[in-house]
Order: sequence, then C-alpha cells, then structure tokens
Amino acid sequence: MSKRSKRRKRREKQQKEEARLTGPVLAQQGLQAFRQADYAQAIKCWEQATRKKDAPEAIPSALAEAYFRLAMNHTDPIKNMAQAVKFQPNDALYRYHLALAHHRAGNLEQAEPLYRDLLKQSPPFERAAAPLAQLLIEQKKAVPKDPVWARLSPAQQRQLAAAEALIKNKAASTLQRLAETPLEPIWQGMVALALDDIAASVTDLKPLTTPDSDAPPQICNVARYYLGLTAAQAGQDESALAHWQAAKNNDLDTPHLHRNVSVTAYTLALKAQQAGQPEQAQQLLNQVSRTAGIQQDLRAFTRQLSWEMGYAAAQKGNWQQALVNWQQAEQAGDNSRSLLFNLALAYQHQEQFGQAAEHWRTVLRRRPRKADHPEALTDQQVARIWQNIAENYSKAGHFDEAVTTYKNALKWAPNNLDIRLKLVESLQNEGRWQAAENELDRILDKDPDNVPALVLRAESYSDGYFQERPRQLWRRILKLEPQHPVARQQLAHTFEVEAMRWTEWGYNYQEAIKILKAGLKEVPDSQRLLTVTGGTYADWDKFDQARDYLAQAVARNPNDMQTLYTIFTIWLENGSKPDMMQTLQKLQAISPAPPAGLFLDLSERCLQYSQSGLTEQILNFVVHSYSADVDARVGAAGVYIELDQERKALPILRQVLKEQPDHIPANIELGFVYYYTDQTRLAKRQWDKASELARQTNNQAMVHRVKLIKDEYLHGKRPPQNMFEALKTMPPELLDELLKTAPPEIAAMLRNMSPAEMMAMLAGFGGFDDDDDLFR
Amino acid sequence: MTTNQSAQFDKKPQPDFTATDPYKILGLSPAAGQSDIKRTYFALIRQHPPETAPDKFKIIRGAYEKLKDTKRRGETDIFRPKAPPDWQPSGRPLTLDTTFHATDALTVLRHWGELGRTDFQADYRDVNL
Repeated sequence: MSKRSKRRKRREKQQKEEARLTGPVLAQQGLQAFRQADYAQAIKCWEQATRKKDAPEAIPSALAEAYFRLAMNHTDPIKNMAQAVKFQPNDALYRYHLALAHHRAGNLEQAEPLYRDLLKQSPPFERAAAPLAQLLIEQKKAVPKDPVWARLSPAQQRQLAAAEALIKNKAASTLQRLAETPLEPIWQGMVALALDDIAASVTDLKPLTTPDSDAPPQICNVARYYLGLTAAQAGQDESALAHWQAAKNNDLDTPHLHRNVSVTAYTLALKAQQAGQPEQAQQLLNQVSRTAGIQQDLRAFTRQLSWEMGYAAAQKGNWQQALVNWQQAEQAGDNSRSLLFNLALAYQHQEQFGQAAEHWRTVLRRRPRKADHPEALTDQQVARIWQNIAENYSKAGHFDEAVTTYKNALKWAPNNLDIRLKLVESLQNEGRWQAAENELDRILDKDPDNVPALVLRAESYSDGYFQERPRQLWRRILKLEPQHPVARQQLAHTFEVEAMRWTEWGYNYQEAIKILKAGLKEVPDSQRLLTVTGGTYADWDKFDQARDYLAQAVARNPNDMQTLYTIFTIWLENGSKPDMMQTLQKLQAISPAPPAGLFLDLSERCLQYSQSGLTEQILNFVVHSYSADVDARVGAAGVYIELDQERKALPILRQVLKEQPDHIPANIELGFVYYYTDQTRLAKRQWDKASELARQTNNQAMVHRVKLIKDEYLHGKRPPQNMFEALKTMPPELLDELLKTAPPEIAAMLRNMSPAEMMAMLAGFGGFDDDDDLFR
Repeated sequence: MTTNQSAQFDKKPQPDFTATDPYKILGLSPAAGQSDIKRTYFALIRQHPPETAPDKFKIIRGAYEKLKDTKRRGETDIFRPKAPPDWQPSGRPLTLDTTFHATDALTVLRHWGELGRTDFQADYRDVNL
C-alpha cells in the first residue's frame, strides 16, 4: 500500500471517530485538556464541538479563553489574541491584550486605536492609559497634551515624564527637577546617570540586577549595561566586562554595548598578552566584535597570539599544538620567514616530512642574501638546511628529491663527507648503484679511512657472489675500529655464506669446515659462526665435534633463543633425541620466557619430522606454562588437531571459549575438532559462528578465511593454489584492508593491476610458495 | 674577569626544567658565551647533583650536551624555533562609549509597566461548560 493511501485511510478512520463524538463529549474532552494547561488540544476539541449541533453555548467563550492563555504562553501572541477577540469581540480584556501584543511587536499603528477604543468605552478600561502614554512617547508625541495624561495616576505621570525627558534629551535642569521627585529605581538610576551622578545611579540600578529582582529582563539588561559603564569609569575593567557579558547573553543588542565589550575585552587581552598569558588573551579577543572598528589591530593581535601560543607549546615540546597555532597565524595573514621556519620545524616534529621539506625549501629560497643581514645564513648553515630537507624527503619516501637536495647541500659544503655519505645512501635507495659507487670513491679519495663509507661499500659488495671483496673491507674496518659490531658480524657472515655454498652444492663438509674455522680465527667469539660450524659437523655426522662447537656457541650467550632454536633444529634434522631434549630444556629455562610462538613453531617442526612424542611434550609445556595466553593455547590446540589428538584439543578450546566466547580462531579450531570427529553439522555451526563474529568486528581477513575453510571442507571446493589465485579470489574489502598499510602508490598500482599484469609481477618475484598462508 | 662580571656569574641561574629549549633549561640567553654555558652548567649540577636530583640532573645534562661545543651548539641553534616578533598595537587609542543613550531609555520604556509584564494569571478566567 502506498504512503498516500495509508494516510487517506488513517484520515477516514479519524473522521469516522470524530463523527461518532457528540458536542458535549468533545466539550468535556476540551475542558480536560484545558485544565491540564494543554490549550492547543482544548482548542482542537472545542473547535470540533462547534461543528456539532449539540455544542454547549459556552464554547465560544471557552475558546476565547483558551486562545488568550495560549497567547500568554508566548505562542504567536498576535494571532492567538486576534482569535480570542474573534470569539469574544466585546471583551475589553482580550482587546487590551491584543493591543499589548501589537505594541510589543512594534505595531504601534494597530495598538493605538485599540487602546483609545478601550478608554472611550463605558466604563473606560483604565489599564490601557499607561501603555497608550508609553506608545505616544515612543512616537515622540507630546503626551501631557494628550487626553490620556489626565487618566494617569500622579506616580505614573512622574515615571513617564522622566522617560520622556530622557528620550528627548531634555535639559539638565528638567532632569534635576525630576530627580527630586519619587521615581522607580530604574528611572531614578537613569536620570542620575544622565546627570553624571554615578554614585546615585549605582545605588538605584544595582538592586535591579540581583537574582531576586522582579524587573523585566530587558530593564535588568539596561541596568547592567550602565553598572558596567560605572565600573569601567572606575577602572574596574573585569567587573565592567562581566556586567556587559551578562547583558549581552540576555539579548541586549545595542551598538554601544558591543563597542564597549570589544574595547574592554581588547584592553584586557593586551594586558594578558603582556603578562605572558596568550591563551587568556585569545579567549578575551574572541569576545571582540568584528564591527568594533579595530579590525586591522584585531587581525594583527590574533596573529601575534597564535605565534606566541605556538612558541609556548613548542617550548613545552607540544609540537602538535604548536603546529595548529602557527597554521592559524599563517591563515591570519602572517607570511614571515620566521613563521615559515617554525612551521617547517613543527611539520618535521609531527613527522609530516613532505610538508616539512617543502617549507624548509621556502625558508631557504627566502633567506636574506646580503652577508651583513642579521639573519643571513652561513654556507654551512645553508648546507645543513639542504641536508635536513633531503633527510625529510628520504623519510617521506621521495628518494629522487632526496638525491637532488643532498647534491644541493654538497654545493654549499663540498667537503662535508657526512652529507656525501647520506647522498650515497639515497642513491642506493634509488637503485643507482654506480652513482653511489662514484660518490663513495670521492669520499674515500679524500678520507681513505672513513669507516661509514667503508661500511656502505662493504654492504654493497655483500650481495655479490664473491665474498673476498666485502671480507677485505670488513677486515679493514675492524683494523680501524676493532669493536665495530656490524663489521664483526658481517665478517663472520662472509665465511658462513662461503661455507654454505660447499655444503649445499657439493656436500663438501671438509672444505666448509676449513672456511668456517678460518672465519673463527678472525672472529673467534662469533656465536653464529660457532653454531654454523657445529651444525656443519652434525650434518657431516661428526657429532662429538658438533656438540663441542654448539656448546661453545651456547656458552657465548646461554639465553640467546635464536641460537638455541637453531641448535634444536640441527639436532631435529639429525635425529638426535637426547640433544634435542637437552636443548629444549635450555630453551624452557630461559628467563624471561621466550614467546609462546617459538615453542609452537618447534612443535610444528617436530611434527614435520614425525617426532610425535616430542611434539606432544612441547604442546603440554605450552598449555601449562602459557596458561594466561589464550592465543598460545588455541595455537597448541591447532597443533594437537594436526597430531590427530582432537580429544586433547577439545577441552583446551572449550575452556578458552568459556573465558572468551568471541575468540574467532578458537571457534574455527573447534570447528575442525568437530569436522575430524565426523560431526560436520556441528563443525558448520562453529564456523558460521566464527564468520558472524568476524563480521561483527569487521575482521575481513577472518571472514574470508572461514569462507575458504567452509568451501574446502564442507563444499569440496579446491582452495587457492597459489598467491595469484588467493589475490584473485579475495573480496575487494579485504584487499583494501591488506593494502591499508602499503605505501599509497603501491596500493594504487595493485588495485589497478589487471590479472595478467599481476601474474607477470608475481612471477617476477620468483613464483609462489604453496605453503604461503596469506591469512594467518 | 672584572668584579662586576664575577658578581653576575655568582647569581644563581634561573633554569626552567619544563622547557625543551636548552638555553631556557639552563636559564641562559642564546647570546651567552661558551664559557658562560660551561660555568652555568657546573653551577646547576652543583645545585642538582645526580645523587639527590637525578631527573633534574638528566635534564641539565641533556641541555648541556646540546650546547657544550660550538659544533653541537651550531646544530642546536639552527633548528631552534624562532621567538615571536615584537608587536605593539597600532597606538590608535580605543575609547569606551561613556555617553548616556536615549535609546536605552526607550528600551526601558518599551518594557516598563504592563508591556514588560509576563505573568498575567490574574487575568485568567475559569471555564465552565
């Protein structure tokens, strides 16, 4: 059914119901609403009643009263009073209130005849006299000459005479005479003000502004304004501003109020700024009106405060705030070199390196060129800033710009080898190997013993086949700096690489051992080299020598988990269970305990080598030693399932899900337990639950993983066989999530790549590994 | 050193340990000489030795490290934020409007008596049907 027909049906139903109600019933319903002060509802009921033949006679007067009360509730007073008068045209009270409504709205032409009629009727409606006199004063007419004057009480005449004198700016003598007559406080106070009698005015006006005063809000506001003025004249700026703010907040809207608020807030802001309180000054300045005639000063002042607040924030190390403030100063029209400098610095601290680099460039472009300028930069300083620009470009990933700017830096400091070294690194990052080599030559020509340059050169040679060249360089570095950690490690690495070639390509363990021993002669304390030597002996089935070297390796650092892990795998591959057990005990004794993932990894390796007993032993250790680590327990359960030990996995997973029912991997693994125990329906339910949880947390990777599991295990679908297939079947939202952390240009490239292009690219990476699991 | 200079350095420096600017931390002007920096540093670490005030000592030491020789100081100076420029308002006096405004009397008049009254419950009549 369309909306329109629904509406029509509703209306028809309503009309039927209304038709059923009689006049008296509607009258009573209206009365009930009226007594509950729901005048709109009362009017609705009574207007319906008027259309009934049996409507009570008093309905029009009731309607008039309801409209009157609605008007008194500030609801469209003119319209509602006009309605009241329509229903009761002879009622003086309603006509009087209609006149007042027009008067308050400024419709003086409509109000005046209404007042006059009320005064003409018999008996006259005397309440209309005073408002009519007020209206005549507003119209600048001579009230005392009007017949209405005679109808006013002597007290009313005194007040209105004072009002007329003030509005018409009558002579001081008139005001003086009026001041001597008894007046209401507001008129007394205003007359005193007009006569410059500040003390008297304060005495009269102050009571009007107290919370228990029953003065109308606008009268209270005017009193506040003049109290503020007297405070300002007495030098109490804060008190004056407080009075004016109160008046302004209560809807007093006069140009002189705005001006005085602006002038005082501006003056106080200046004082706050001079007292080193820029935040307070800024708050005060926010109160300054834009129409105060001080726009230029205001703009300059705002700029200055932003500058100062930014500087204060930077001094406290709050660069984020400093950046915001200085950006505000920039937006307020400051384009000074100093501000640019600070902005560049702030961008750099906020790691917005691209912006920082651009700002630094502008700083340099706008630097003073005359040598005697107080802010002139020396060549070294210019070079240093160029270097800084290049460093920013590097950090922003703009290596091409970094290369250009390092070259600029070198123009100003050609002998600065530090800059040239950075240039080499940038060239290497850009893949410009030959240019990097040339720069290294320049450095080493000038300083043949420059260690960082030698390190860069050695590193660039390390990827090559021949290890002799980098080895010589590492040796040279160690001669210059015997404890250079990278050189020691890399020198050992050259021997390891060379030895591995003999073992991997020719099973020539003898030659490999010869090389490793030569390495150990040069780097005798290399833990890695000792481990590799031990491993090579083990592969050569010379277990005694192997144990000896591996023990030496462990002795170098008994808590090194990487070494112990490698030793464990050496014995695992060589099937020596006692050595495995011994190494495992050492790993388990490390303090603080290694991550649980290390033991889970070892358990999987043991499983690969069919060491079921050892696998189970390691898993028991994980479950008991990492009982607080939910992920570790779920991981252990996963390996138990691989070990066909579902009955051991089940209680672990149930316990985890009792602690964390929303744990997605636990739900997935429990699904596998059910699947492998032939409870496919339960498995599906568990995987569905995992999928739902993943959707709730917007975990796209898990959603996709569960889909692949269900496809494979429940629907017999072939899973993706390689990375290309995995990427091709991946939902776009998951691809977006995976690409979130990728550099924007790489992400854009991958998104726009056609399947053929992607295939070509992945093939270029050397193919796929079937074991790759994108979703773990 | 003259007696005046000596007296100047005998005064305790006013360090600001909340600042990040090394000069402010040591309570020095950026125009201070290298020897002033050294002298101030030693005066401050005498006041805040590492045994009793390790945190303050660390801050003082960190600041001194940035200024201890001309090379490091040059590096520090080149990347110090610039202080705000001196600024004075244009000097045009801003004056308050202290006159009495007849329009305010008119505002009062418009809200005086029954015109400003908001409670007219006394005028309400009961309804009987």
